[in-house]
Amino acid sequence: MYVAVKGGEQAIENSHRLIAAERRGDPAVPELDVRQIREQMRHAVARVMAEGSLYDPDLAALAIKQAQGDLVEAIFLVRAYRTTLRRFAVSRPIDSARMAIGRRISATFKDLPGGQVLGGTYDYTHRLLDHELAGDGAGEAVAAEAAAPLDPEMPRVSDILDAQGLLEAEMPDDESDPVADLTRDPLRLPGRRDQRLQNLARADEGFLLALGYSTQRGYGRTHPFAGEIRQGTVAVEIEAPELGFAIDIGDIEVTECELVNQFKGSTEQPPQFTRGYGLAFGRAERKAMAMALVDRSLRAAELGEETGHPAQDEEFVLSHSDNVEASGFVQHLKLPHYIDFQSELHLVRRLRADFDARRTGTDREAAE
Amino acid sequence: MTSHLATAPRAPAAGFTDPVRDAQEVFRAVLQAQSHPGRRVRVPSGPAAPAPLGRAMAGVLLALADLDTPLWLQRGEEAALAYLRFHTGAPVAADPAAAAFAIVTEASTMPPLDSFRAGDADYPEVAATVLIAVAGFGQGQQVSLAGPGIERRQGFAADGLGAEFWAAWRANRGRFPLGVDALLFTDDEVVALPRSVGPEG
Repeated sequence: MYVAVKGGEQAIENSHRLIAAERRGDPAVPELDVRQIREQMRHAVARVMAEGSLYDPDLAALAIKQAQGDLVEAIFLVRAYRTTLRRFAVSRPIDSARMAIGRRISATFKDLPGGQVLGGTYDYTHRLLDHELAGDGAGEAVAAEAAAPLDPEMPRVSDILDAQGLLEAEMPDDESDPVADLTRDPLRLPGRRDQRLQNLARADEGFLLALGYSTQRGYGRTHPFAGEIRQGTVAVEIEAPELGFAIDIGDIEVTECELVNQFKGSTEQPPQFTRGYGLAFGRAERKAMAMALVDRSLRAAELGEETGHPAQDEEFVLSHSDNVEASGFVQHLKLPHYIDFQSELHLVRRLRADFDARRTGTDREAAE
Repeated sequence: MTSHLATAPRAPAAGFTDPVRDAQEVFRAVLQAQSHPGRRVRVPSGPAAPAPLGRAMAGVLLALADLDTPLWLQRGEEAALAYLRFHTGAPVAADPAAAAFAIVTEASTMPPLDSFRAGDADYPEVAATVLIAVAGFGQGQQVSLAGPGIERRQGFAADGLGAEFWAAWRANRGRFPLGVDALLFTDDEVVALPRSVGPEG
């Protein structure tokens, strides 16, 4: 990460004042309230929380305001802020089977236990610009209420397949081992799946989307089905050693995607379905699905499948997925490289002089 | 989460009076010590902690230890354990090799330096810092330290650190960039001994 940059003090101060004025825009237009961003820009807030690795809708909304909607910049702000926070506890794993469902769909079973729950989605809109939203009087939006509450039993599709022995079992590597944490320890390659999933969970959505897409187009076949996508709120629990039991410290909204992929089996493993897993804070279906595609794709070597495509290369994917790192390295090119460039200029001029001298010599020989 | 602890019959002794300011002062002192290996640096605002933790050592632990830094204690008195757990949230490791900070309160019986985490070639920075309490500086085997941060030579001696310790420290320095770092404490002072520094001659 490139952060501290030195330069002309006065110019930088003026630049900050200018950016503040630009952020405010036309003073005749009411200023954005952070609460408005939190409530009305939920997908932007979700992305900043997921890739900023900090679940706090208010801070994410503030970062979006400060960054004038530049989400990668907002993610950087949140990442920087989270480093100042004290860590009190490590939560127990969230249990998505006990999620308060907002949306839950499966492309594999039409009539699954608990039913399909469409929830709020853009999938069936016609992508026509709604000019009514441009005016002040867009009218009140009132959601239709279901006649009956949702089925309290909402088993995950993976649990159903698992019960029939048709899906690979998902076992933790070693439950006594701490879970990898990239915010504390550097990336290690080759790494375990816990590290990979954390990397992908905070990875740039666009990068994952493109990689996932590449696997669908033939650069590493994954043959996936959307086993289940569920979105809703789950409880976060911590265990205080002094208490001896878990306490609920609040709810978070997440989107989870389990892709089910065909696997023809190997000498040790029977033919079965395998999984790709995606999880993101807030409403982030595209991100969760792309993550699940890439997760499964990165398991190609482990499952003895053909490898060699970009989305199957763990080092390539995990080293380039972080948009704060990527943005820093790309944008550091803006910083002064005057001395570096002087040396290259000097070198090119010398080479050029040698080249011209040789050319003149050759021309003379040819003329003779 | 803390309410039941505050009302527990034997609440741990007080930590920093002003946690942010005090921790910054202590951090500054450690930084100063690390920048001048072998030089004695006073540690301000060290809290009175239960034995065997001295004030300076307790202050450094309160400033640096947290949930991510497992502690290993040579002598795990319950009061000291409770104090550190309460104020830092740091887990206590039974195995010295698992510790980020190893707390040695009896230098004469400390485990060999190579029983602590020395980092690995890719990540030498994950090595342990060994905190060693000594009765005083100036007495004990005189050594002449050299290395980064020392212009020529830095004379140093700590009570209770004899030939055996310094031989082990030479071996530790020989493993650079791997190896442990040490902080030596009296009740109110700290001396840093980074792995890059050792006795010469």
